[in-house]
Amino acid sequence: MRLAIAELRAHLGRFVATVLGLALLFTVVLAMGGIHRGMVVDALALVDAAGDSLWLVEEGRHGPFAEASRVDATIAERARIVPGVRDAVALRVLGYQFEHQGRSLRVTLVSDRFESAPVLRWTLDRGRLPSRARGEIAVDRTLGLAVGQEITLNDQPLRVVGHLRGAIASSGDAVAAVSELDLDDIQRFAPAGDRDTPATHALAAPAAAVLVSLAPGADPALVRRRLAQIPGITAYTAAEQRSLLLDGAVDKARRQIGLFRVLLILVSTALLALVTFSMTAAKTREIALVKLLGARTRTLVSWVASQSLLMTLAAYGAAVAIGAKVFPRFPRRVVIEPRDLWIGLLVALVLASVSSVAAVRRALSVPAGEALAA
Amino acid sequence: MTRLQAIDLEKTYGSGALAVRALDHVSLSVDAGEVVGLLGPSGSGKSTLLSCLGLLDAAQHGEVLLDGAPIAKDGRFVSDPTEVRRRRIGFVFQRANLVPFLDVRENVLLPLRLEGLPSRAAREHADALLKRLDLWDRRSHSTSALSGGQRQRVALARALVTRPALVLADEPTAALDAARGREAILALKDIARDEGAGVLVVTHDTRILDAFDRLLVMEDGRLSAADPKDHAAPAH
Repeated sequence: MRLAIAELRAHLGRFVATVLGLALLFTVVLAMGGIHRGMVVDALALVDAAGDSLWLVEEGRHGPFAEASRVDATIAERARIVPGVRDAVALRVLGYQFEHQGRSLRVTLVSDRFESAPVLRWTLDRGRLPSRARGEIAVDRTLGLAVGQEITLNDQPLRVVGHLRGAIASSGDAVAAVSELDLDDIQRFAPAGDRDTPATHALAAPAAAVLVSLAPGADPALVRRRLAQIPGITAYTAAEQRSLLLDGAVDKARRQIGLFRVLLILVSTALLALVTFSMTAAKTREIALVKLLGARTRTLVSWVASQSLLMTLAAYGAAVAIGAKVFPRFPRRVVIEPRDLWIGLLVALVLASVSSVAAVRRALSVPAGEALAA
Repeated sequence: MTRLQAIDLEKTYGSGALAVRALDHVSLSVDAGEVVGLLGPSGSGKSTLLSCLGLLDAAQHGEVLLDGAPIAKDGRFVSDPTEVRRRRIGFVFQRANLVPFLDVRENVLLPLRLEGLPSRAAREHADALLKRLDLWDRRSHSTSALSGGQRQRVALARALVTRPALVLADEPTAALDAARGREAILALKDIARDEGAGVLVVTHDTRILDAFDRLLVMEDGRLSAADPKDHAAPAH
């Protein structure tokens, strides 16, 4: 290790350049994982906010977050009279783009029954949820609107009363919570291109889904079978909604990102192997010398492998530091949990070991007698 | 006390008509504190002998003993050659062969570090060698900042730092001028005598022959005693 450190110090420029290059590659690998985890968290945010409710969606469809779904708003009224149902609420979702103070903002508007009892579990960062049937909105804090600010959506004046935390739609857009009546008005006048789920009036227009909460003691399976008899809908449990989301678009993204990460790790391994090998080849004379002086095999292996290890660890540390600074500025949410960092470290250590194999073989093959020839 | 003893070494490269006998029944001994010079033309077998004595190669026949114990016999190593080189043999080369990214003191300590963490006594011995070889003021310097003579003195200190039984030197003065070459070989002789190491020096440098206790000459793989007067440099 002493030899490795002394040599790296003597070639500090090369060491720093290699570490920087590797660190940027590791940063991208970490970002890919964080973006995937962020997608999962975003995709499940609204489903999880609905708790254990049953989801009634358009027949044969997977629900409002996986694909377009239209259910007649009267389904909610029909569901309410099914034995075992405590409440049923139509859920409206509208993707919406608007200009505000010279900025173009995209938001996913989600309706809830704020004037009485909201059905989704919203998490507040500051301020409060809308408490009136009209004129108030709570937005995810990442949207960049301040609490107290006035905005206008399709001529509907709204005042931002609170910041939501972790309210991101599966599209990656920030979520804004509005009353059913406000969303209905916004939706009615929204340009055709902005309508994810066409609807007209809260009482008569189609909704994206109907959320059904069960009465205490009700048998979920039995209630679900009863609900399934309503024509034109498919009923899902919350767990099924989660699975449909994760197995659908999110799973494709996971596989794509996973392949990309594997490619980057292979590139990192090749780069590190090349650098370690060329550093070893450049010190053939010194290796022959220490072999002649009686260096054990483990000393040589440690010399070469610990250089690879030191570069990898330094690069990984730099990548984590870069990520901490850069990831919050990414347009999509990047979620990195401590477990991800430990797994990443483990992968980096394996990478360091694999990439030093060729260099170690080279070092061990140098004949000690070469020191005499020199 | 006999430090090194080689008995009837034979080494042949190739076979049949192309066979080259590099060592032909070579026997020699080096006593503690003795500095023996080994002369001979290129291709006479000096390097092969040095390799066999330094356990880089094994003679096909014959025996090598260090402090009376066999270390190689009839084509195989009796002791672990790496361990013997690390603990009991010091090497000095034509060029100093220092490690460029270690400073002077670390170069001297290198053989001790290959063994593990050097003891306090070992480090003190290294420092004593640096002082004795007039390198103490340069101990923290990069080896690239040293003159040729200083570099070779660092190499001497490195060869002696483990208190070896035997020092093998291959043309240690070839890259030095006459004064520096003499200075280096006398320093080696002084310290080897004090420490009781046997020293075998392969050399072509006829300017330093008077520094050796004994001279040997090798020709066509055969070793014989030599008279310094027969090999002395012509007077100018």
